[in-house]
Amino acid sequence: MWQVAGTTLKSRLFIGSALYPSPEIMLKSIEASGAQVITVSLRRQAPETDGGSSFWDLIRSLDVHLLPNTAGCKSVKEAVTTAQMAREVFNTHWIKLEVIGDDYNLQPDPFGLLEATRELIAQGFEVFPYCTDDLVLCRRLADAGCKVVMPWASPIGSGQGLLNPFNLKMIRERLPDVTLIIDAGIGKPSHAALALEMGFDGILLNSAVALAHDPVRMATGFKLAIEAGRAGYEAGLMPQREFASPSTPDLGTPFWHGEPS
Amino acid sequence: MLKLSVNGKSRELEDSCSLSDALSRLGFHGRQFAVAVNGAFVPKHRHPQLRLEGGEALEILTPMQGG
Repeated sequence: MWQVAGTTLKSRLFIGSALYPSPEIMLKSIEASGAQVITVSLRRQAPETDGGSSFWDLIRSLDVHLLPNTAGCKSVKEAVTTAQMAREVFNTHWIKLEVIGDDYNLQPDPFGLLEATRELIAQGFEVFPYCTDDLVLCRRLADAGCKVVMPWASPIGSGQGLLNPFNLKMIRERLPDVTLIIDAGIGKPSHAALALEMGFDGILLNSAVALAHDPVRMATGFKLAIEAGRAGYEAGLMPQREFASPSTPDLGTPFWHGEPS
Repeated sequence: MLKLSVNGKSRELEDSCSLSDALSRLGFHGRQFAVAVNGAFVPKHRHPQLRLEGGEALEILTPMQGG
């Protein structure tokens, strides 16, 4: 069990609801992942073409916490307005705040992100900011009142894993009291396990599961990897050595021809 | 005629009306959605009071899959 913004959760995996081959596979993948927090979004949809009703019905059937995002917003105003609309539609004050600063790699705009964060916290939101792996930015977001900060591992949907482990290690070490969730760039279960071993509190991902050949099986893989990584972190990793050190005792080595000392 | 921009597209309604009425006429009645008028969020409880005079830009957003 762990706490996220005052909510007790069992799973350390947050999972997205997009890009699955079908709604049925989305539901089965979410179930297999064990995730209790699901990311969702808001979009323009014509009422004559369903208008999001079937997706809303599906999501409501799940016993999960919803984390709406502000995906696609490029300005503070857009992000704040989208967050307000998401609060009404999804009936939650949680918001995964995205303010995009570059279209090519979907890199967050750190300045707009911080400004929008302050505004939304003042309006009573629990802000989960999607940010780059910059220590000072993460600290500023925590200082602004974020209980959770979500640095990327690598660009959204790239699946490149932890591109800069040094930055992430530094963020973990320097912000020991902030809940840190790796958001974006995770491509395979070993990436997630590594992040958890480093002491990150959780993982938010979508594409790595939804775009797998077998999303349901991959969801299970991530569930297990995250549990394994966390267990490794809690157990305490052995110190690395430069050279070999035998694990089998030297004493009584068979066919040893040396003189007893 | 009441000329509006609805999710970036030009729409015309017969006459001036409240935001609630406009949303019904546009087919959103009974659905899960939120509205911004001219870029500002308008909470549901204010929809009946907000009178549309024409020229407004409505952003009507509904639940969607997201990452």
